[in-house]
Amino acid sequence: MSVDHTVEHGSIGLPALVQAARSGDRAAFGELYARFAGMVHSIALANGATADADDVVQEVFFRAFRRLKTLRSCDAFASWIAAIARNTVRDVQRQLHDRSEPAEEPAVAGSQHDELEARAALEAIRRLPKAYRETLMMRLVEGLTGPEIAERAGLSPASVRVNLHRGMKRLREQLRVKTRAR
Amino acid sequence: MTTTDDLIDEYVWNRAGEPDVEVRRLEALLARYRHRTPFVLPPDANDDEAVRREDEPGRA
Repeated sequence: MSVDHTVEHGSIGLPALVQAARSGDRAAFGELYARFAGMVHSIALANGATADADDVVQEVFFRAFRRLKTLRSCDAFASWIAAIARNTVRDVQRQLHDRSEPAEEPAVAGSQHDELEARAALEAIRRLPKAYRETLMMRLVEGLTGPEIAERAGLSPASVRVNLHRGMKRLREQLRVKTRAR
Repeated sequence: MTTTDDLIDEYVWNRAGEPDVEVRRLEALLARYRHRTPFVLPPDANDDEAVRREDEPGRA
């Protein structure tokens, strides 16, 4: 069943939206998905999922849907779903490892050179410290702005700005080292 | 005084100001990994029932 997220939920504040979803309002849950799927996907990518990142997102939101009533504070939704995402990507990767099935890389559009460059950039971000890599995935992959990242992740704008600034600096250094090594 | 670094940071921060060529290139390359899948709940998804099933012995 596809979950709708109606316009009427678009302007609701997060605590009220979480409360509505906890009360069984599936459209409200759909709006939570619309707002947080990009952050969850970024966490999946930052922690090693690529081909299976979409499956991780589905599993995270299914787990969240089932457990939403156990969430103690509606204000804590962002950090709560981020924690579910980190646990889920670990579970999925453990299952793949146990089955000795490497996840297939997705077929991507564009030239082979671009494809290789994109994968190199993805790997370079993954080598950064966690705070930087998740923030940079949200900015560079999902296209969220700094203020949007702060809102989604429940972080202060100042700390997101620092993470973006330092993360970009480290990423540029890594990519330059890689280019020089060719 | 606004420095070049401030302008670059402003673009990284909220895509305002002078676009940074390297960041634009990374955005274009990495957009292929962007999330685009709609959420689909299984037809039998029911939060209360699912939680009860998870609480049953032997269930993950």
